[in-house]
Amino acid sequence: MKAAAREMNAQPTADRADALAALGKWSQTDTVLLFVLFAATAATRFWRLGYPGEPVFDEGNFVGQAGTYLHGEQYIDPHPPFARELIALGMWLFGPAHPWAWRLSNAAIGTALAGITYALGRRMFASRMVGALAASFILLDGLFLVDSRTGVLEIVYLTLAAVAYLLFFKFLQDLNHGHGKRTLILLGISLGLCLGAKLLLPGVTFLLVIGFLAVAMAAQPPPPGEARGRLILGIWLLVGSTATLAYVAAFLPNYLLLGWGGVHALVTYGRDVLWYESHAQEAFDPRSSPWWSWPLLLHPFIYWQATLDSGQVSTIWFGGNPVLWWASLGAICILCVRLISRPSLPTAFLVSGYFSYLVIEIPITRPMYLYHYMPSQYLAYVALAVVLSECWRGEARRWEQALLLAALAPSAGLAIAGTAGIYAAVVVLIAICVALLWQPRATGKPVCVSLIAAAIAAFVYFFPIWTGLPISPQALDARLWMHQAGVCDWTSIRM
Amino acid sequence: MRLDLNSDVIAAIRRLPAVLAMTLVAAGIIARPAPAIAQNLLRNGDFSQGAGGVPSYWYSQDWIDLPTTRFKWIPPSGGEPGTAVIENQRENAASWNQSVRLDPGWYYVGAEVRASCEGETRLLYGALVTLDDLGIVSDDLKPSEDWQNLAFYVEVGSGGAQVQVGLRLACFGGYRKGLAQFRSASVVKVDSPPPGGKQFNLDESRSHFGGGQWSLLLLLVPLMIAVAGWRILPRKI
Repeated sequence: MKAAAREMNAQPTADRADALAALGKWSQTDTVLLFVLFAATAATRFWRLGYPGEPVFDEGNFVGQAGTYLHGEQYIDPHPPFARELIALGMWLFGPAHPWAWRLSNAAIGTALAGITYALGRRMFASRMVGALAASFILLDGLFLVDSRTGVLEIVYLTLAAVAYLLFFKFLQDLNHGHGKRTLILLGISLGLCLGAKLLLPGVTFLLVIGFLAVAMAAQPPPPGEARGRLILGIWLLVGSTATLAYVAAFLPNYLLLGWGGVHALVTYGRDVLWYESHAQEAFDPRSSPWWSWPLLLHPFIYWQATLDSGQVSTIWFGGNPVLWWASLGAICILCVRLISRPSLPTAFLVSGYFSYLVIEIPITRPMYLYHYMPSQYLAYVALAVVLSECWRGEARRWEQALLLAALAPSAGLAIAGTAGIYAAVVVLIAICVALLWQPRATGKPVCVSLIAAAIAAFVYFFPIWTGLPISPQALDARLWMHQAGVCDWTSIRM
Repeated sequence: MRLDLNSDVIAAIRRLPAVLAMTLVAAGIIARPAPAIAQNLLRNGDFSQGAGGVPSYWYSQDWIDLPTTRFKWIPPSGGEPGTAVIENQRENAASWNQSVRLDPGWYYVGAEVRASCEGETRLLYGALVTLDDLGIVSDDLKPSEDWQNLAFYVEVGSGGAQVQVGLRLACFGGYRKGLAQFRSASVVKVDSPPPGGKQFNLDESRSHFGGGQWSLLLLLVPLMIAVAGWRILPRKI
């Protein structure tokens, strides 16, 4: 099994099914792992979900718009409605007055994302470790945590995108087993609902999956008597049309509850989107940031803040886990190099997806935010899981291990701050170099353990400002590592 | 028997038709309808009546049902007219509403308003007069402590319409606390809007997301394409 896993990056796609077979069918170990991941993720997502008892960040818009489904009142918003409808479902089931009711669906979906990520990593790389690590990174990251505890749009389309990735790899690996058409229909539905949950970025998901379907099918020998071009055409037609139907189905509550009249309503919605996008250019928001700042985590911002009577501060900070964030950037760099030396479909998928989601943002001139980077970051976490699992198995090269550990240096430096922080960062870097030079062959496991331990420590450290736990102003200030004028600022809040 | 009538009486009888005619003319003049006085179609638009802190005929509505959003009615006193108030301690959108039936034609919809939103600084606006129809809304208030008139004109098409007039507090952005006061709300039929008045067409607003539902049959196209894709693919894929 180890040998199969080791070799799979060099194997063509068709053989990956064999590697997965070597890993075995879904076992009790998988079930236990999944249960532990679900339990831990659910605990972080549902705990104190009703706090604060008021709208946080864009909840003021999205929860309000979700409420219009309960009143039968029209609204205009550029984003398609599926994520809002899920918010409305919670409000309808448990009453619109409970903040936890309007956050419930996102908490459930955010919890499901961990399990889906486990299944995705396991299937993409035929490795439980990749799945478990990738899911753990989703569990330990602040952006995925905060958006699972808030009634906003991101976590819904990200989860549906993850489902689409999973179904895409399932289709490829189960090819010629007779379940392909059913999988393609499910893939189309997940892509359509993903498109129905948020504007623009799910379009990249769609193109990524459709494009890689064609690439993968082109690399496969077609079944006897079948033309390759005809196969690709059939797949595109089936997935594309199912996605279209699912996308339109996402608007069904608008037709049933808000009096939408026909296809013309969808055309009008499209025109409204164009109008909104052209007028949003003029807006300014200190929380916005340029696309190039996102991979470096330069400009997280504060979703919500309140000063309590006790003098403590309750803050919900929309920032990532810095250790994992910077290490995942290193992992993407490693996979880019590997794509040249040892190309494989899963690696190409991760790297292409990561850059596609990022590149699509570059021409956009209206204010953009760190959450626009979340689909790239999701794939970066899967990439980090891949590289770390290889590290654990002793297959990562020395420079790769050094690059991963280098992520600890800025974290140590910024946590300590000032001149002492710079010294700390230098000491960490020297320690890494010495360790790797001293024991070049046996450093894989210590690298993994160090990085994961640091990520868990960072999670515990930042948890209070991801969930609004009251802390002293000094403790808050210690956690907001960057506060320079300009882009390098972790303290921006709505004016 | 001869009836002997006094000549004065005879003269009076002879003048009777003329007197009657004049009386009728006078009565007609008195009974002629007065020139039309603009009628406020809102009931209790001046907020003079109410009970239990709620103005009669008005109902409150908010986007999110938060206990931090409070609705009040201040009865008229000391020569001051009645006032409907919305107070918000947390971010929310809330309004006083009344349903009105409108015949075809142009209408003035307006109220006297003053409002403030409390954030890091105080913002002296944050209230709107609206219809609960897409995009029919007054301009924002200008920053001021004074009462201001917020209004717009709306054209109702043939067949008339039932509309919901809303007096809305709308403190957005970082402004969580807000207070809006409304008085002298009115919906009045007019011949035409004055030049420069903010104008809307109700039918256009209501048909914004309209269209014939038969057009949803176009969805059969992707369905047929899906079937085509299904059939193109081999059975065992």
